[in-house]
Amino acid sequence: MTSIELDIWRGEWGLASIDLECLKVLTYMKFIGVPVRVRESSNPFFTPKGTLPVMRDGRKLLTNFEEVVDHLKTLHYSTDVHLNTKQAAEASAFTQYLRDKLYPAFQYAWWVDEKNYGELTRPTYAKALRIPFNFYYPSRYQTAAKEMIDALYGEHTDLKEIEKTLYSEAEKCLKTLSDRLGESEYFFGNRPSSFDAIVFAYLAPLVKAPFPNATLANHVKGIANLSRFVARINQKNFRHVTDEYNRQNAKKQSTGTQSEREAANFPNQTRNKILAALFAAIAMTGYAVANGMFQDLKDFEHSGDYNDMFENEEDDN
Amino acid sequence: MSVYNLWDKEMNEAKLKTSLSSDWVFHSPVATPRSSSPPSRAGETIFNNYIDIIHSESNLSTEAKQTEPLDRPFDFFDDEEFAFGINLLNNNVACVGDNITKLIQMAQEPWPDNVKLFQPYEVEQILLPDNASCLAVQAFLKMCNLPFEVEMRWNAEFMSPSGRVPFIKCGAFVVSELEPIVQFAANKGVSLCGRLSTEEKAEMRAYMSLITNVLVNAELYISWLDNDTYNAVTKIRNSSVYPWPLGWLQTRAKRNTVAKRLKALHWHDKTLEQVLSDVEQCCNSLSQRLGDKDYFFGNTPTELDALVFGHVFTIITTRLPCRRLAEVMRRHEGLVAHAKRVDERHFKRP
Repeated sequence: MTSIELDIWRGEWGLASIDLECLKVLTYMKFIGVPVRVRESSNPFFTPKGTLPVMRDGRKLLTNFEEVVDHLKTLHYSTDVHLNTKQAAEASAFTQYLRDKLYPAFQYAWWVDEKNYGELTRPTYAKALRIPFNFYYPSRYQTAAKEMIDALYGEHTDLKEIEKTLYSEAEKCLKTLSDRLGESEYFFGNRPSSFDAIVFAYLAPLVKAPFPNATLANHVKGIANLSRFVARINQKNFRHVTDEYNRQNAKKQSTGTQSEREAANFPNQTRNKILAALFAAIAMTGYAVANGMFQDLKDFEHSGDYNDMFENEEDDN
Repeated sequence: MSVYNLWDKEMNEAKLKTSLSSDWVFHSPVATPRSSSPPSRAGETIFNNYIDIIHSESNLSTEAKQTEPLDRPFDFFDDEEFAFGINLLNNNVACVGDNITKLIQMAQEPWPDNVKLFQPYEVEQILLPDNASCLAVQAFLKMCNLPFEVEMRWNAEFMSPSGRVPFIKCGAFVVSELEPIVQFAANKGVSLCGRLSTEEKAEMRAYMSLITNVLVNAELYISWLDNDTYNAVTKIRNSSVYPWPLGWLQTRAKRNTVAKRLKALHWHDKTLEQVLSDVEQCCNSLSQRLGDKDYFFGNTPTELDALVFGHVFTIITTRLPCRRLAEVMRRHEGLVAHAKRVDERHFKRP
């Protein structure tokens, strides 16, 4: 059973992955405890839809959460066996509710909001990707998100109005979720279900990522039982990721001085400087050659010859 | 339109409003909400409130937004109260503006008698998804015992502030689609879910999302992307109200919009089989929740019942070339019985 492989986006800020769909699948697999080899992919070019996650089991290729859940169910792995039919119905209704109200706001916060996109989303995904792809994929995902917002809220022309509507709906949705969760540990009973994985995947990036424009994130952080829910699941299932992140952070902080921290942010500083100087020198020399500057110099030397002067004098006469 | 034009227009309008307001204030110095005054007087109150809002607004940019002229083609602009009601809604309620609390105060007057529900022609024009949502709103209003008249217009879609049918005109307000209408009625003190606990309310909202996400998209898919249905029904009905070249163009444009919407929601790539299996799953969830009770939450109906009724009833009574959607629905006897119950109790009364 170790043949299951999972390609995901890399993690950041103490998250196992930066991406919503990847987190869903990953959390679900952690809940079940199915043995899986996780790889942090840096290139979604060869995946079927140009997106991650991709799960491989033998010759089967699965690309979204619902397929993964169904596939694992056929292998008799499921977290939802303790739900009765009514609870299962409720879980599917709530899944659609999140999809309806929270997902557009989530996508808006990540991709459409220009400030967040420029300062957070794009750099993060660019870091996760390899060089020719990081120019292409972030903007592609952004276009998809923009199209979705446009299709859903096309009747408003002003982006500010859309933002306000989206966030107020999302806020209502979070409030509803918080009411539903109450003080219990999981949404259904005392064991995790697939719905818990979905909720965690939505909320964890909002809690952990340092958004420059953090309206939606603040809504989540403002609701105590939801943030506790995220912290609890993170603690139980992704402890090693968080610990490592904290250790790295601590290392960075403890080796303390300003310049050293900067050096940690920009490794290979000296190398880069030398390369830059070399590049500049080559460029300038190339420009000089192309303009024929050395040629002129030669002509000048040549014209300094005694014979030439003589000839010139002759010409004058 | 240049910024200067807009500015100019806004200044003019503001001036107009102030001059009007002094007159109106003179006539009726005391605002009397909840009074049984004649309609014109209620109009005055609303107008005064509106002017207060304009004056209290210090932010010029939002003011400019409020007085922005409408570019939708309304054919009853002579009805002044209605016209500026649309204006208000377009800029405030529909987009949850800054003045929402004040508007809510205004909206708290009791339900008037002359409420009209606008929808497309039922016999020739209306399509499956629109019909379902119109029926849902009608059911909701009937369940609340709120009086209303159905008015059919061929251009109802373009009259609606959100671009989707149905919408109701209630005094100075125009509200479209079920959820805002429910909210609107709640502001007037009419609500079907008052006795539910917070958890039950959360559940109800979740199930309503389930329907709007799955059933509505499935209806859109079948009407616009399933070729048989599109050619035999949708194309003909949708273009029936327009003259020749326009009908063709409008139908194409609308199909593109629907396709774009479904693409954005990842429904475009699904096959008919997948769509139907989603519908099946949704119906399963609903009938599990319903069980053998009369309504979803206890013995009295809620807006969820109205929404479910609207969709189930429409799907099982509409004849389409693609019968499989109706077949899936008919297999869930609990839901069909529920639809019949609502129909008998709320629609067949004298």
